[in-house]
Amino acid sequence: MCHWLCQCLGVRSKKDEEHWQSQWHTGNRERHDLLRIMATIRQIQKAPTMSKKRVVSTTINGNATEFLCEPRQTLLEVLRSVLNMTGTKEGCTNGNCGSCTVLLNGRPVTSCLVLAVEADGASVRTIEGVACGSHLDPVQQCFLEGAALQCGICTPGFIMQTEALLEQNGHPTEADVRFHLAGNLCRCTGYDKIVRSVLAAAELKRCEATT
Amino acid sequence: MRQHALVNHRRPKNEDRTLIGLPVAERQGYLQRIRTMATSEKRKYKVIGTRPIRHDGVDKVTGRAQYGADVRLTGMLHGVVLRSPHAHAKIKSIDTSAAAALPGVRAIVTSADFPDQVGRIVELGEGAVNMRHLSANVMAHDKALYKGHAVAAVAADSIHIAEEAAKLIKVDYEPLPPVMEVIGAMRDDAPVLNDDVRMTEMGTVKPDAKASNVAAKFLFTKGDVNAGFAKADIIIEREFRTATVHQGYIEPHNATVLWNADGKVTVWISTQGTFSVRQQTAELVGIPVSDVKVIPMEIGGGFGGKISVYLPPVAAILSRKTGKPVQLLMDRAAVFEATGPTPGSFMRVKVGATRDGKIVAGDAWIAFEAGAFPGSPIAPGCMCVFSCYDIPDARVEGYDVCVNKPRSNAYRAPGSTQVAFAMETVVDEICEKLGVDAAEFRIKNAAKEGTRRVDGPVYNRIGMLETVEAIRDSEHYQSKLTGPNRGRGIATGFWFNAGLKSAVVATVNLDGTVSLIEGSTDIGGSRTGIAMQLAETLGITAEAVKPQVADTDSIGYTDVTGGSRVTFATGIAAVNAAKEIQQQMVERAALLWEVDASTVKYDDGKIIGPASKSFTFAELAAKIHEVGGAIIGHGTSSAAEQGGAFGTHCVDVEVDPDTGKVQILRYTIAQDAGTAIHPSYVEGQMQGGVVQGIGWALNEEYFYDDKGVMRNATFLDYRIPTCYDVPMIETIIVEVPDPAHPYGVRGVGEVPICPPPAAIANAIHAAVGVRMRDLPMSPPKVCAAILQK
Amino acid sequence: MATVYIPPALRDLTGGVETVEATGHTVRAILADLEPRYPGLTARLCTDDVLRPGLMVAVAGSMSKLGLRTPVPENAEVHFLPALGGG
Repeated sequence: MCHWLCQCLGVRSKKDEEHWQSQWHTGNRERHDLLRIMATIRQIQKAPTMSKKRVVSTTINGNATEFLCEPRQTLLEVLRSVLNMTGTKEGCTNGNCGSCTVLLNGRPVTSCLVLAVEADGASVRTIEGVACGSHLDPVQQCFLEGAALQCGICTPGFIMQTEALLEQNGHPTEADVRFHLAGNLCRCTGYDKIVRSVLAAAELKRCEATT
Repeated sequence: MRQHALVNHRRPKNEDRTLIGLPVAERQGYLQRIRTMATSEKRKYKVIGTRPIRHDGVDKVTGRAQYGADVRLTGMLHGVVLRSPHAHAKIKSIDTSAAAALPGVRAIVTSADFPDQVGRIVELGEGAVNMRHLSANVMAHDKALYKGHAVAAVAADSIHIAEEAAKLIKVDYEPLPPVMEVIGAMRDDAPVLNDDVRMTEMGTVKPDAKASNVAAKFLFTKGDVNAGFAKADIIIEREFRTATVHQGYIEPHNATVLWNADGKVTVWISTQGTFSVRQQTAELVGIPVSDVKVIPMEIGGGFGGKISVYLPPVAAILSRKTGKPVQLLMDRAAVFEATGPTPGSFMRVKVGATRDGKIVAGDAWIAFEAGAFPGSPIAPGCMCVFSCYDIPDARVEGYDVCVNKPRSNAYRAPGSTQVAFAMETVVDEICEKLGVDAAEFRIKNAAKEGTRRVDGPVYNRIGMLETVEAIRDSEHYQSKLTGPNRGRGIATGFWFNAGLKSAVVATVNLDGTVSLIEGSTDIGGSRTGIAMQLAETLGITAEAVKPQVADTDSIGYTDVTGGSRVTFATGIAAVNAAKEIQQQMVERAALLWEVDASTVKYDDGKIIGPASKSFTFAELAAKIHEVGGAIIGHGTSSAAEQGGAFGTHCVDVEVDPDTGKVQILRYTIAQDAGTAIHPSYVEGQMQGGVVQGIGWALNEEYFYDDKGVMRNATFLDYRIPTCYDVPMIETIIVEVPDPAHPYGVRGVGEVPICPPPAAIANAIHAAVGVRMRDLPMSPPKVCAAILQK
Repeated sequence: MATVYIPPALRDLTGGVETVEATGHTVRAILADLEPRYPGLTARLCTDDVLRPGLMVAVAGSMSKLGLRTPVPENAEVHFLPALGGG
């Protein structure tokens, strides 16, 4: 964890730092930790001193990508506004809706709570990298077939979160799915068809793996 | 049974479960199976009732769909709106000089940049709006009327510069006492928000009326309510409160506007109604409507909250000042604090019934919080409270009351959920006291064709009775619920459903497909629902229609996507367009065959001529240019009015008596869809409405402190349901066709949100014996009620 | 003869009577027929020769967007109601 981030979070000891390291990019935070992270990101975003640009080298959807960004810019802002990858959606900018979920080194993160400079040296996977050429991924296919979207704004986030789930657990139960996707909000569907589609996608992925 | 002959119950069959539990051999086989199962049901129609993949689906699962915040234009500036920190304050002065001096700042606007609006009432397609109030809501004039009220805006080279600049704007406020609660706001000594608001009744103001927070009074009577109650053996009278709640769409409001050098204004926006945005923007910046073009971007949820404008007029003035396109995006806090909500309410409902279970009289007194400016859905609230029942004598009185909260807006069956909570809870209590089954009581008292509503008119063919019967006969209702602290409740709800105006244009392509242009913005798959009706009428496949939502310069006037009207009214327009195409196809075939057009007919996708001559649609489409130009069909809808929608819900809950937490164990919804065009999306509307209703029932509320500041303006603390909070939502689609639509469609979008709070309250009572009369029924309240028992 | 339902707020003009009979083929004609009997009724319902903002007329059970021009069939019911919006 870099020095100025530690400063912003008020890290005083090694133990503190370890705590924040474990909390920083996870979906299962304690409420007070999340509030602190929300406040920290906001503080950094609003600091004019954080406007000097830096070069960040990442791999995005398998392609080596370099970009210039200000330390105060979030990964979400850079994806959308610097790299013009608008498939990742913004719903709340404080880590509570999951619309901006991307995979950072394979782990699902809300990209609105990741600073773009933290992606240096990391690999990032976004909704734009899910389909293989013109072939939809089984998750995308099942969301389509299963009518798992209405307005569609939460869909990229749900698909990324589902990719992460199915990577870890190829045989999820309904309860597994509901637990894993609980950080992603959908206001249209009532979740029924999303959960069914995720279960179907797990099955489809399994059968693709065996053929 | 005459009524049953018309009714088709579409229960969830195995097709509903196609996505789980199928032995899947391989991908192709899997997909094939889904399609076959979806079309194997025997049905009246070829396209209607099937489940094609939505036309915009691939774009939405790949991230390619362009929403309002995805607009990127050359030279685009980014704006930020400065919002009032006070709930109620005089704005004495605004000093923008320090902000203007910041490098990268291009323009600043305050209310001084907007033309003065007199208190003119303008018809905006779906209700009349006072333009002075609308303008003052977009940018506060001399007073800030709620925390989050816009007071100034900045456009700069980047969003960060704009944010820094906004902090440099100095606003001198004189804070005033906030008025946060409806009953307090109605008192004579309450501080008055708007000095131009006086109580109107049926559009008339009493000559001696003083300025007040009470903006309107409504009164409806039927028969003699006192005589009615005199016949009652049992009378239940209860008071209810509901909290302010938000639509909670995941996509924040956005607008990108270019005021071009020729004076023409283009707006890119996520909205429920492009034509409404065009008119509101034109009126508020003072230019002719034809100078504004609104381009609909994909919309990330609306539920009624994306009809009013907030950002486009502000972005327009910023663009006029800079000559560059300006993008304004709200953050989540602004969405909560400055848009949306549906009113908090106070209600008193009194119902009388005879010993044998017949409702004889009803009396309701309802007050809704309009927010900062008049215009809560109190009238529909009054008209919905007794709408599910045949009540001989009744009276309803309602008030529209201003408080220091954001100006309230439509939210899915506006006004109906609040009153359904009150009425359906009282009905449940009567059933309990009389010892009668809750479903049978509703069947005995159901409103049906010929029932006179309390507000006067008589119902046409409606499906209230059928939805209750569907629940009564469901496996869920018939099953036994066991276990401690568990209970089952049912409730019914009603919504009017709107008709209003729609336009479509359809063009035949040489390859046998049809391009369909419509004005209805698509929130939940309506493009496909409209395309399917066009396809059905033409006898072609849904996939052969290519639907597109067009901008305001490219299609005829179309009212908002709201009031559960699009599948109904835009569907009628599409059917009319298809009929024009049929006629022209017949004429072309006659020319090709060199016969008289009267000997040619259009039959189910085929054009049949004399002497066994025939074309398929695609065959003829390939030849139309041999004998003429493009074939274009136009369709509009304006006169048709829907008959109304009903739904009945059944829920099982378990209450934790130690914490007061309510867990939904099982949920079934039966709803009259008239004719389900795309059953998956009908189910989706039903399931989505239910879960929004569950959130309203159990969790959601605006928490205000004593200064009128909302303390939970994030999705962390304004807690909408997650998938972990709810079970699968079982659906029963009841089909009582609406005679006003050629295929019998009834809108399905709104009514599913109405019954959940009451159904859950009734289930809580069955579980732990307490009656909850305040929404939300959050753990502390349920816990307190259990302790007081 | 059409049956016109007088909203509760206007029944001071009709001496408390809830329904009145009137003749006319449009809502405008109906109101013209009623005005001599119940002076002031038109002014309470209309402004500048159109229905007041926020009001709507329902004829024979159906809400109409045509206002005073709405055709009134023989023996129909005429109701004056608040205009509605939806979500």
